[in-house]
Amino acid sequence: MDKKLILVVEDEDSLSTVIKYELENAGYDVLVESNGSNVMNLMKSKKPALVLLDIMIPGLSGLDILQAAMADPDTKEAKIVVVTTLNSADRQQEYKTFGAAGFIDKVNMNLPDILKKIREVMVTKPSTDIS
Amino acid sequence: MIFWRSKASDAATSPKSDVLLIVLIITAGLVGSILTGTTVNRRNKISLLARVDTIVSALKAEDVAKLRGNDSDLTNQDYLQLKAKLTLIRQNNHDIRFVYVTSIKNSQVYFLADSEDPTSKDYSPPGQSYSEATPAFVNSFTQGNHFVEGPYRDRWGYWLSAIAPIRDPSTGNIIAMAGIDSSAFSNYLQIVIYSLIPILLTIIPLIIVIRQIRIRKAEEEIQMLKRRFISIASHELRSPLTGMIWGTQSLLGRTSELNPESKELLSDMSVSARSVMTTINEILDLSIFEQGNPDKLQHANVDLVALVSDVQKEFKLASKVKDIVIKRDNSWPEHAFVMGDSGAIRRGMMNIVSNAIKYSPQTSQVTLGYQKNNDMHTMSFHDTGIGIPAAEIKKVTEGYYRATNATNILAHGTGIGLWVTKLMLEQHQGQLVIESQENIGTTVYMSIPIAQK
Repeated sequence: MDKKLILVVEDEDSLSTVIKYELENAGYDVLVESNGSNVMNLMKSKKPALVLLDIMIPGLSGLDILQAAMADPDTKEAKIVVVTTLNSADRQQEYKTFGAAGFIDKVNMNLPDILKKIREVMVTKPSTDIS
Repeated sequence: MIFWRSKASDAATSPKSDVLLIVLIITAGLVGSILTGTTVNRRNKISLLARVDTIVSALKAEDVAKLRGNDSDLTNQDYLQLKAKLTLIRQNNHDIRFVYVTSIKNSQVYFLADSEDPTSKDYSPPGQSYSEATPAFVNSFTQGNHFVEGPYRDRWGYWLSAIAPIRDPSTGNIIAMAGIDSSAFSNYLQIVIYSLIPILLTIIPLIIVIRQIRIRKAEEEIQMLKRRFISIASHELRSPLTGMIWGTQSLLGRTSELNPESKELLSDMSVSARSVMTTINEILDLSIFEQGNPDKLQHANVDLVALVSDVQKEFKLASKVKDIVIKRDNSWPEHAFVMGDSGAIRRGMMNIVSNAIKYSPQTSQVTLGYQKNNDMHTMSFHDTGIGIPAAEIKKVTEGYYRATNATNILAHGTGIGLWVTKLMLEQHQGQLVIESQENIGTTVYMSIPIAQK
């Protein structure tokens, strides 16, 4: 059986390296992308099972990508987990309404919590009531 | 036992109250100006009336009665004496232009004597008709009242006049009417000048208020820039720092690849990185809470019980080092929901628990209690540590202050933790209460309103 692919959109190398290592250890295939402009193309061509999307990235912003992905029929089924260090927790609800499958708070969450969260989202069925 | 309760800071004045204050000052100025103007006008009139009455009392009615009101008076001693008196009165009252005595015949008012030198062009010889006499003036010969009239205009100018009757002392009959004229322009001028004083006086408070508003606006702008700067700086610091923390955590997880020394080193690195992260979070929280910025807070249902157990787990390792047990007593319910920012509340709890561990002796217990009172969930964090000196309890919640006994034990520390926690609770309409006794222990109470269903 093929390994599931996770696309990690993150411009902080130290973070993407750790995440890549941990996720590969956990049995996933991992693709790292640091520029927002390439994400939509990668999502269409590679069809990742999950996208870990940093909000503050160069190129297209995470929020733009989220909106674009949810509006595109090719990608709207994708599971996107939003990752950020911004303290603006009020945004969390906004991300959810835009169709994010989950939210990772880099500051307040530990690595084990984050891996747990990713596993949780991987097994949930994509929600169909996202507008 | 020392007991101290935090209080929400006063709300800043709104632009609405600024406008109200300015309108109030201007209104006060205008009202003051109108009042002053009318008062000056009234006083001037009263003063004229009082003087004409004095003049009348200084004149001998029987001498006035002897005047005939024609050229024959010009050689009459009574006329000359009266004229001399009127001239003297005129000279002694600088604001009065004319002093005169008049009589009436066939409803025609005419002069008996005036204060002018016969060579003056304004001189009115005895018998000269005063055709501009107002009906009030004409009527006063029969009514015998004293009064002020004007401003009115006649051939000599624009006047405010006071008229009073000269009566025969024995019969009380009106012999003549005495009058004085003062310039209506100078009366207006006085009114205007005095009215300006209240307006000028209100300019001073107005300038002060406007300056204050400007200063406050500038301060608000600085605060906003400060917050923005801190927010950006915090993000730029936290992103790479998260990389370090995750990296060390990841490495620590690979136990087979590490020798004990490497593991210890990594563990220390992890602790240091976490402590830097805590400080950055405190500074960021502070920038949000200090100015009261509730829109930056998440407004979600938060279960305090879940948070507390989370925090307990978080400190398992740190407390093990000092053999401290963090224990929840049996007062806790299954859930305790509040509305707020779970991250911020969690950091507040971590602040308190971290203090409890830091300042408690080896092999002691930190007890977490719960209480539901009024409409608040109250959590208590009790330790048997060094306590806070009575005089310093209030100070430790006011920022950048660490208790003296705390600095003796641990040299480093920002002195932000309790302050930021207090501000955070106030942002949640809750409060922080500290009970402490030096060398006995401390209990910190965190109260947050119960979530409304």
